[in-house]
Amino acid sequence: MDTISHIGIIYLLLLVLPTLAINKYLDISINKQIVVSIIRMLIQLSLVGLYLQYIFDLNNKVLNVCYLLIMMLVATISVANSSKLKIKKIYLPIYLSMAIPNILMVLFFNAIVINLDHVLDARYVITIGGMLLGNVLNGDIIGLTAFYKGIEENRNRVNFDLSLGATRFQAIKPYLKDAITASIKPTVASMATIGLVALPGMMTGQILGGSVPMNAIMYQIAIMVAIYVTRYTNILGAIMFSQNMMFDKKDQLINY
Amino acid sequence: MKKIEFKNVSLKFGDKKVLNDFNLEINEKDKILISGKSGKGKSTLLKILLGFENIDDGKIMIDGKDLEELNMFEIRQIFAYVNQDITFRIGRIKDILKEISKFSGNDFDGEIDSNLMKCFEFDEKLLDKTIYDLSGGERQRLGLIMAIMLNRPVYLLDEITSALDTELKERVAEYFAKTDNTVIAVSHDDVWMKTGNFRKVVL
Repeated sequence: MDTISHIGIIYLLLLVLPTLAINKYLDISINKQIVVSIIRMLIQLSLVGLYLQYIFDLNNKVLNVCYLLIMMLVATISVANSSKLKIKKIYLPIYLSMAIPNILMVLFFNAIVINLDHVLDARYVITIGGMLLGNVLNGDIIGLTAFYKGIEENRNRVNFDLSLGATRFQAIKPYLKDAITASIKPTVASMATIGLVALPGMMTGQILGGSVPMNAIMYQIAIMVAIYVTRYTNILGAIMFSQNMMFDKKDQLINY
Repeated sequence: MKKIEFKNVSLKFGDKKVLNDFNLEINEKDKILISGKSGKGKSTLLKILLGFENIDDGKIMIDGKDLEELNMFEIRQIFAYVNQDITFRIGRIKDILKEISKFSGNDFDGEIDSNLMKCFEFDEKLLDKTIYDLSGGERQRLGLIMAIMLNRPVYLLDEITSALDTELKERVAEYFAKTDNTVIAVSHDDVWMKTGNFRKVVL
């Protein structure tokens, strides 16, 4: 595969500048965030490039899993901050709901789907885990925001149901349904259009790296299904683990 | 469910005293009308029983047990609570009633007795609409029909006749005056007292 030079990246970054100018003109106050995000991406990926090589060479099982757990920690903080939740102590439920389905899926994927001899091989654990995590992060932000916004806007309805003898789960069910739908919709839509209007990154990467298209496609199908299942279990877990924090001991909604 | 007691109950909203050393004893099958000016805590009284307001002082006893120590989820199942503007979920009324019928403590199967609908002049076709297609009066009638269908030991009725015409108000008051269940009604209407079965408590 032909390599990309630093100057090539710089040329590409120059194309961002006009969008910043338009943002300024339109009073869209997002420029700082864009610049910070791009800088973070540059630093993070450069570091990843350096230490991934190191981790791949070491290929220590414990280290590989730890690496995944640390990625999840960063993702948890990102989800909690992006969904602007006011509930304290939400980090643990988000972390658990992220870690359990992700790790199980990575193990399942490596052991059953692609039949690896070493299921904790760094090249697979970190890449597959990372891909799942990126998608789950998105799904969590969309789903949690939808759920807590739904509850906040329908406080009277939730209380009305509770007053009639609904369990907490029965009272939150309509908003849980909405949140799951919102969270998985993008993945479902992308499964329907994949290959027609977009060639996904993983597949493109593999083909550019020299894989035969059919093999790349098999991986892509597998990863899409894995993403869908992980995203689903993840948002379900994040809501179910965190929803108890919205109620006090009298089963009424607290002001979160 | 035999007895509900408010013992020296006080409640403040900020600096405003809503209830001050309030006492009330309600026995099984009692019919109580809570009246008084706006802001005196009439609706709050019902919300306290449902665990949606916390009192600052005093005690609420249900069958001799302190409400604070009871399981709120179980306590709510003895009440059929309807407020003046029922806050249903979004969706077809029929479907929502089915959902509500799955809540604990009901005999309700989600199907509304057509005689009851006739009695309170509620058009059956409205069950296919959403709550937001209904007028204020239709919502109130639906709320009280639902409360009756729930068949719980105690009715908590918060201003459920405010949007009804006089004849219907009288019919509603008569219905609840004759029921075997306990009734605690919050209302400005005097139709409740005309039935002769209600005890008035002024806040």
